[in-house]
Amino acid sequence: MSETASEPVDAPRVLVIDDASLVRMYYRSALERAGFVVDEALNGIEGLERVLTTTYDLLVVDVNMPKMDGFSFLHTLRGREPMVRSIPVLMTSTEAGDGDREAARAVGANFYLVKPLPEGVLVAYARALAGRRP
Amino acid sequence: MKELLEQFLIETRELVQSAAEDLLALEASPGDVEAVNRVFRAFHTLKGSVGLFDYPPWFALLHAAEDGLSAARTGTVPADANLIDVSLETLDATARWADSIEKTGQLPGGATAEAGALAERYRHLLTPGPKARGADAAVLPGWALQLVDASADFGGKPSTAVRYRPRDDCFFTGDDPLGLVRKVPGLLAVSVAPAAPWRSGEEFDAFACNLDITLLTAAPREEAEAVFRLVGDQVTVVDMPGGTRAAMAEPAVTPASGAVAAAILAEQVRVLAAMNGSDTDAGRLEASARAAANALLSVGQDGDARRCERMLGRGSDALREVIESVLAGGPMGPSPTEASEPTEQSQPLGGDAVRTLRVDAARLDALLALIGELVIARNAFGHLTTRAEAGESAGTLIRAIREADTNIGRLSITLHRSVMSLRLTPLSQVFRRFARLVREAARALGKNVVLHIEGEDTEADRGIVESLFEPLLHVVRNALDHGLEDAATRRRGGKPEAGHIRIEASQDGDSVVVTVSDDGRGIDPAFLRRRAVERGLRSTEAVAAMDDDAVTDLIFAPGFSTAEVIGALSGRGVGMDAVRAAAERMGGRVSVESRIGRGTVVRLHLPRTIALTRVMVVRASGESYGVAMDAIVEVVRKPRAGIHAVAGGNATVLRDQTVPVVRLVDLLGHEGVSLATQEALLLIVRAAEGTIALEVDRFEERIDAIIRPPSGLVRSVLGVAGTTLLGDGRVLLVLDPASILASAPSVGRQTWEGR
Repeated sequence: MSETASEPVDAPRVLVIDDASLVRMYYRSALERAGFVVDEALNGIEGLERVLTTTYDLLVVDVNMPKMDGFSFLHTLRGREPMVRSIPVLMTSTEAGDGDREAARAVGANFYLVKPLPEGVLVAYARALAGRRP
Repeated sequence: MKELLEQFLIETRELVQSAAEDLLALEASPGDVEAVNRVFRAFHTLKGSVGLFDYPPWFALLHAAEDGLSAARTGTVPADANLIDVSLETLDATARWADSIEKTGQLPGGATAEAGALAERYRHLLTPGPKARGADAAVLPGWALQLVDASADFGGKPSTAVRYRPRDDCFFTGDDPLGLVRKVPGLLAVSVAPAAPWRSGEEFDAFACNLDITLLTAAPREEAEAVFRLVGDQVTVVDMPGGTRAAMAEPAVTPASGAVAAAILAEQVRVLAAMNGSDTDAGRLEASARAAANALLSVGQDGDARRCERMLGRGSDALREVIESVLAGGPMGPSPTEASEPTEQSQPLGGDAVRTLRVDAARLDALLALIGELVIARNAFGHLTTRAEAGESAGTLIRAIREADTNIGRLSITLHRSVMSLRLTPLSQVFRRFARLVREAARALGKNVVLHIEGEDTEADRGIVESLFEPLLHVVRNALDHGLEDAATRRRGGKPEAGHIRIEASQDGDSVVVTVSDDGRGIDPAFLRRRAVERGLRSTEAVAAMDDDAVTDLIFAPGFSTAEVIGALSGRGVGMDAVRAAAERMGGRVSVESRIGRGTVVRLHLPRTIALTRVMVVRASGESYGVAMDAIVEVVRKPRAGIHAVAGGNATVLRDQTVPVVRLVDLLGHEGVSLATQEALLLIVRAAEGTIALEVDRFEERIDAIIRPPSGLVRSVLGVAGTTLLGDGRVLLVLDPASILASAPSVGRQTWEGR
């Protein structure tokens, strides 16, 4: 949908990394409505490629993904060069247990939210973590 | 959460009540600026509290109301009948919704539409002039309004709302629901929700479509219908008139931003605490600093955000400290505009008095430091979990857990002490009242009295200071009425004509001593002896055997009204027993010292703070009892076979020592039902004669409690150290094992003989 509209130059940019297309669509519609520019990646490897070529204000990262999961992606990210490693990350998962939450902390996720995410919650955390008001 | 909700409902009703009164006052006297301000503040507060919960339509309505009232406050729109009407209706809706939430946990059906209609009326007040179209939001379905709520760029243009509920078997008939949605031109908003709650486990049918898709498009109705022409039976299309502007959009999708920022900050503390010295630490530190700074920026706390950024080069602990200090600094400012009018926020609503506490900055800092320590201590548990997962042996884990528990226990007690110290208030608050009181009473009695007050800076817990006035008044009145002689008598006795009363306070370790002394005639022990015998309180022999000090103490005996002791000038009973009761209620005591012809000194020894005691809760014959941990040496489980009947009692061997075993139920004189368990649960307690094992039915929990000294009926029960309230509201009797043993000599002696 964003392909049709021209993007505001200074809008905060979010990368959604999730293998489920319905989820990406939901996040995209919610975040775009809130004024973010949204890019998508299907897994950690695609996510890294994007992150290294584009500047993002926030990454919304799923835990369970094929090829490279959210934890490995984040671990790799936090060990990269300064411009890249400091991007705030909102991690999302369907796991409500403490295990994933702890693991997310251990790899340096800045917040962890359990799916399904009400739109308002997603937007509120995205705004606060990205810092710039769209 | 439940507590928060209850508090919310109470506060909401109060606010509705006061705002309604103010609105009516405004109606009676238009142009009352203060009334407008009060109404605005009430709505503002209402909005803030509704924002803590997830009731988007309600929040959006209050947001619109706040906008309308804010405009009235600045004079942009008149505070006229229109505004008053819609505001009263909004309050009415608010009250009904609060009721509904209390009963059912959710807003009533139709609330979204009602909220939309009311909000629209507020907006109409703000933008007078030709209305775009007869947009009656009330007739629009709720799902359509919710889309409007959620769509920020809707901008009030006419649009079309579509609800598409694909059939269960749509995946097999070749329909592609999301594909269709993507084809809709000019899409403004899409919402995908389950049509029915997802089923779990075996009931879940992965091949059945369970979607309820709603969308909003800028395209005209015909174009939207064209997309869905093949599934027309599954689609509802609604025209959205241009008037339904979504001013509610933004707040509706935003939970309280302050809460979000606080949650993010708290999470950064945990992320930083989880650092493990790997090569990703630098990235994690930078990302946490950025996330924390961003969160602070999002609530307008730019200064704090910069502080976080500055900590970057100084490591994770420095950053963590800054974040913790920001978190401890109180609620996050919900928005920059609100943060810029703090004075207004704290102003009492409707002029009610607000209980505030002035706190010394140094005390607050000490508290912050402690909270920091507590957070760190808590982190130990995360570490322990990891160790447990790594399969570490139970023995070492237990030791580590115990250590962490001790540490947290110590911190929480210190924390309690620090918080209690925040409650410390100088006694001057009470003492000051006596200056005038004594002057007036002295004049009424025709006496010349000089009052000295000393040590009024001495501090004690607010609760104690507040309860001090009554007993102190008794004592001072006593001195005035009965202690001090009249001028003629004083002259005859060679004393200065003016009598002196001195109220002094001083700190003595953990207690505060308040002394009231006079240079009056003192209490005549001979008179007290006679009186005690007359009243039947003591026998003639008994009083004869008592020394003068002990006799003086008789004035505290219940029923020993000393009103006539030295000739009452007023008809009041003096009631020193009441003074003693009050002192004991506060956990203190009272003593008296008197020399005939020289004067009387009454001393109140009061605790400075309300102390916390660690208590073990045990169960015996169906009742819970507490035992102060101080008295407990250890808790032991013994097989029944390890308890031997010895002469006149039971005993067991513990580390080569024979320890008498006494059942707690026997000590308490209850009809004990033997549980006949395989194991006996023993509480090894310290008693006067050594250690003794108390058998109980069950160990329950360890709690930190404020022990109230026994009062009323309980006071006469031996072996009760006091009472405390349990979390569930029950009163727990806290026992003093040493004194129960002493009071049950038969049990004690028998067992001891068996040693």
